[in-house]
Amino acid sequence: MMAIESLPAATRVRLRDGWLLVGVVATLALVPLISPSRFYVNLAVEVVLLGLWAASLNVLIGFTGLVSFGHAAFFGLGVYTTGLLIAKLGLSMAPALLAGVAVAAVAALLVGIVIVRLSGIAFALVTLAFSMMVFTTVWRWSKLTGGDDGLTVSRPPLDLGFVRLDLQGAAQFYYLALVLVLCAYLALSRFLASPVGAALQAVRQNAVRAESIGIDVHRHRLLAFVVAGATAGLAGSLYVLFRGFAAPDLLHWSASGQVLLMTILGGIGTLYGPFLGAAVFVVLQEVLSTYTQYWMLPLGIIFILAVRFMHGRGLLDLLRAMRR
Amino acid sequence: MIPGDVTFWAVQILNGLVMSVLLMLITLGLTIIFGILLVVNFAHGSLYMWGAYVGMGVLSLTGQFWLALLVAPLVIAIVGIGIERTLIQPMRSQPVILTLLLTFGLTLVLDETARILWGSNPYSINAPDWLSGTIRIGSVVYPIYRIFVIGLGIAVALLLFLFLEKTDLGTVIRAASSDRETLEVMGVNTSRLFMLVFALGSALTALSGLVAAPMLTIYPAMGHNIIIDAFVVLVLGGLGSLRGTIVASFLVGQVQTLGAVVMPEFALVVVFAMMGLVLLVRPRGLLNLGRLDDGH
Repeated sequence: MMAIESLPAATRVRLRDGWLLVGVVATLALVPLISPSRFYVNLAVEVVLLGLWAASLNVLIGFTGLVSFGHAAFFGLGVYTTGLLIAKLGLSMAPALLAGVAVAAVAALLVGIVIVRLSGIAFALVTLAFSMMVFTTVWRWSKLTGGDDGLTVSRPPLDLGFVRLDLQGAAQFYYLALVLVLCAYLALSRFLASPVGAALQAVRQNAVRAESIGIDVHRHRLLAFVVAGATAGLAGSLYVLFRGFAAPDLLHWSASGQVLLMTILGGIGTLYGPFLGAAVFVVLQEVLSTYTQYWMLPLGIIFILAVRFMHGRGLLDLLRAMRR
Repeated sequence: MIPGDVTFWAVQILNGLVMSVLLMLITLGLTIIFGILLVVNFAHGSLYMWGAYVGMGVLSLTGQFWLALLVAPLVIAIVGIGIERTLIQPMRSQPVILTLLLTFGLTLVLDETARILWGSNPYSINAPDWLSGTIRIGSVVYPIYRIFVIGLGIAVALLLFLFLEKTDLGTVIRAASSDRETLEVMGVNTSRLFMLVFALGSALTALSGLVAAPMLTIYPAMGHNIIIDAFVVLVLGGLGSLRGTIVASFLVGQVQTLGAVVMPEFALVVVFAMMGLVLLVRPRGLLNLGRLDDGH
């Protein structure tokens, strides 16, 4: 059998990157202050939320080597759980957000238990099948979800008991999103830097060898799958609050494809790469779509080149290679 | 309310057969490519759509439907060769999952290119005169074109089997699907073989897209749903098995068509549940013929 290289390895986070993070967050926090209109604020919200979604997918791809073609399912479960609880039951923001994360996590647990023994193409196809089941259910159950017409969700205030925040303005919601995404990001990087994260790396590099030194491969994959699903759920819950609207196409396989695109553009195996990938995706979409309606074409070409020549190591590696 | 008369159900079953044949043609292409190259080609649905557009072009130039049936698969086979040489072949030492991602990127490019060339508005083409009209079988009145599609699909499947079983090249292809290394040792140029197989698979999906066109409409996203259905068939058939694929396409075609009548809300959910279940409990497919036995 010819030698098959494995997917690119996850990159270690260095101290320098810590300062970089502070700089990026500070810059992001300045966006509403320097932005001439809410257009750029909304663009920034889109980037951080889609970035979190893509980063959650990289927990799976970069740290277990499993490629999901159905990651939209968990994002969409967050979207519709939070959206429905607010629109139908009038829940306030915090419980609706928590419920969105919880439903996505439980779904990931139940699905994960049965599918983590698969890998490669089979894993990609089974996640695709699951997400299309969720998509079809949401799309067809129009009495509950509004089906093709979508679901309008007005943003409730954030009531934490001791303080009540209105958050109707674009900038106000942006800061909430930024804080929550930062918390999630730090939690994920702690998780991946922990001994469990190291074990995940071992599983990705060589599952058989990891098994033989006593690492429970299936359990670790399941853990990564649940963490990825829950984080995607958080991103989806925030996204529906941001957009004020839920539509079934957020769960379609093409959405799963788009988040894969962001993740791969940013580079397999990092947490910050996907944010860069999401930024490239959102900016290209916004910039190119003012010139041409065919903005997916250059994006597709960039993606193909990234996979064909960088083998999924992403734009960051490309920048590093060019600097050298 | 479900009508109970025999005529109604006979028509539904015939519709199911038409759907099955379209699925069979597109998935036979996917299967033969997976069986030999171990690559799942996500862009297969885009080639299906391209086949319909190219066929439409030939039809509007010459007015000859049979010519379109020959030229469209040929053109898409050449496109397939280009794809295989530039994108698939160089990725052979990489994980196959990267090739799946690559072909996903290719769908974006092919779909957008189609929008640029032909616009987003749907086109429809008519069945040729010699295939239009209806035929009466007992109490059932059915379009002749659809009967033609069923016949064509079965004929193509038979030809494919004859080709694989009776010709030298077919024998080499079958050998490649079971032991590639030995074949290379024996001096067979597997690289060229892979190219031919990819071209053959592309031609089959283009044919499916073109024969579907007079019954459906032609638009840039016309492959988006059927590629997922084809994945379902691919999995149920056991990835890489031609016989399994044929059986699975007739099953899925009927379940979808009859299911849409009996329980329109959830027929699709059932289909995807079947796919998930088979991957989990019978990864080598319903007939246990497939190649996906080690999870890769």
